Amino acid sequence: MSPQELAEAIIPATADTRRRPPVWRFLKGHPQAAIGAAILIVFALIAILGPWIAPYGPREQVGPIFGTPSNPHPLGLDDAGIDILSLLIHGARITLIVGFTGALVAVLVGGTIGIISGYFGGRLDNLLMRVTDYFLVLPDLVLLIVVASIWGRSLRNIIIIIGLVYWTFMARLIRSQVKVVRERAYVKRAQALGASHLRIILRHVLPQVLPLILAQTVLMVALAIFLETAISFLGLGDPNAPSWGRMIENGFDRSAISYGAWWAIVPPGLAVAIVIMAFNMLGTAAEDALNPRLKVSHLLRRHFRMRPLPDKDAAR
Amino acid sequence: MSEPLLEIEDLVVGYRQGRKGVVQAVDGVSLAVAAGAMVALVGESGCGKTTTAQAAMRMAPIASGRIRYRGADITALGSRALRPIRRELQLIFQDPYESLDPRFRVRDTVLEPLQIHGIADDREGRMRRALERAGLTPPELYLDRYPHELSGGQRQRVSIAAALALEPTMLLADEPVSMLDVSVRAGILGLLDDLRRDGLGVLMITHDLSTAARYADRICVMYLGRIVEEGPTAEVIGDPRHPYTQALLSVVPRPDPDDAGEPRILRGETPNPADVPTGCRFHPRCPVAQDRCRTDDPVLAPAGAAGHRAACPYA
Ligand SMILES: Nc1ncnc2c1ncn2[C@@H]1O[C@H](COP(=O)(O)OP(=O)(O)OP(=O)(O)O)[C@@H](O)[C@H]1O
Ligand code: SF4
Ligand SMILES: [Mg+2]
Repeated sequence: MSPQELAEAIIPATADTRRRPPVWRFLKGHPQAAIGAAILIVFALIAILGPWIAPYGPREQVGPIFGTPSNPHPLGLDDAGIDILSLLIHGARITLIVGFTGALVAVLVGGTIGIISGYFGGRLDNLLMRVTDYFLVLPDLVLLIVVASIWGRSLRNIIIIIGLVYWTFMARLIRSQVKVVRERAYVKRAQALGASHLRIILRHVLPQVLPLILAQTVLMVALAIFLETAISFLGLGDPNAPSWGRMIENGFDRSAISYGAWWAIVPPGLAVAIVIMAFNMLGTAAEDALNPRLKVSHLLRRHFRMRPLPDKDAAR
Repeated sequence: MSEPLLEIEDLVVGYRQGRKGVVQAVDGVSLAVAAGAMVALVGESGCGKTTTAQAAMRMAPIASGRIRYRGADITALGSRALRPIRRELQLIFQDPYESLDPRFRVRDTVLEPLQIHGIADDREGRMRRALERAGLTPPELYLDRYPHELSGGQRQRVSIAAALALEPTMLLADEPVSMLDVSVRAGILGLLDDLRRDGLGVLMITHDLSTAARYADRICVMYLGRIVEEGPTAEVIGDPRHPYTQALLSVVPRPDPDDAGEPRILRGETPNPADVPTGCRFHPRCPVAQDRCRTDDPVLAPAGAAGHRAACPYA
């Protein structure tokens, strides 16, 4: 060994032996992510502990119609005399579950198609992207009205609709990332060694795009919650599941406004807005930290701008 | 010379470019590498060296021609049938900063080929021996490092160790030192030379004729998808016949300044495989081009001593 090589052997090229900043370092470096995460933890706890911490049941009449906010009912009562705070707490669970599973469907479908399309390229890629384009140009609202009226109004169907509407974003994004990773020399090296496609995808490609997928999933949950609220607001929600969106819809439907009962609409609207904002803060920061060049959070913004649904005003 | 391990015959590789065109990156290349021999494929950037090596590994779209390994035609083998070949033929990439997965420790990188080929017995031992053979001793010092904790030279050694883990018979080294610091180049080239002495066949791709002159037994000079001159190293270096080789050699610094001829600087642009000149493809830049060169496409023909060929009728 030459002295040069000996020196190289003893002194590592870089002193930093940590590969990726741990979660806390990320949160520390991104205050907005920390705030978002904190808010989400609170809401997650509420959702998990809902049945135990809600003062009343979600169908329990405990006072007069549109009873005003007062001591035992800090957020007042709705059109059926049900405690709004309790409804809000029970609704958190439904809203978050729909948001997460809807996003998960979108991510699983979109991610799988994106990875296959990006990795294999060629004709398969063309075909899959054509299918994706069809879904992309399909107006979301029309799609969801049609699907909801054909399949009926249930949570499962709402989750499927959310998946149908959003998987295309995921597919396109993951595809473009995988296309880049696929060309990396270490992927070529694995091919030259005779590694199977599955092995290359699982061992070399997926780990590389996984952080991005996670960041996108967080943003996707925000979109999913937004869509669930919109679906419910249009009266296509699951009648048996009092999500926040259903609460807002119910408030409008029973003319809470003409009764002056703002408390039937504002609290669930605020809850939706805060949760979406928290997911957005966390997801955008994660996206920034992971890949400053590649972003889709603008999609989220454009998406909200393009589809100003009536409940947005209430949500403010 | 013994039976060749790898034979490339009339290889043509075309890449689709845009909607209309096909770029003939390699246009009729033949060469052979025997066990214990090092053949250098020399040429400037974009002439198709990498494409040739990748086609030999069945990783580029072969339009026509044959690839033979130990006499068996592997040009059309399916991926399953290729697996045993992939165990014996190993490619070493140009850029060690890119060719190692940043998430893999040295241990995982060197073990991966063994996992891929289902070699279960004595994995640990094979891995250590490969690292030692690649000059990373003691292996313990490196096993748990990530690529970013290694120098360029060390990374290239890891890449070579991963190739050696499968005990291959043949290495295709694609500009293995061009991305490395000058100070560590000799070490890597020396390592490849040692491996050749141990009986491996080595196809060494380089754009540096002096590297080829120092280590190779045979030199193939490539220009715009074709081999324009080939022969034993001493012949090609001592008695270059093709004007392109002569021009390349005239700019190589020589140990004896008195010996240096006039440097011949090539005119014209670096060639573009999408737009191959008619006749001799070198004619727009050839200092001794004749009228006929515009129309007649020369083929490799014997020139000088036995085994020496050049693709220029005026050689
Ligand atoms: N995947 C590809 N798709 C399209 N064209 C390609 C592809 N790979 C290479 N080419 C083209 O083929 C030609 C030969 O490329 P190749 O990489 O084989 O050259 P090279 O001799 O290895 O050059 P270098 O010294 O720069 O590595 C180039 O013009 C290149 O643009
Ligand atoms: S054939 Fe003509 S143009 Fe080509 S190398 Fe010979 S002299 Fe030059
Ligand atoms: Mg190359």
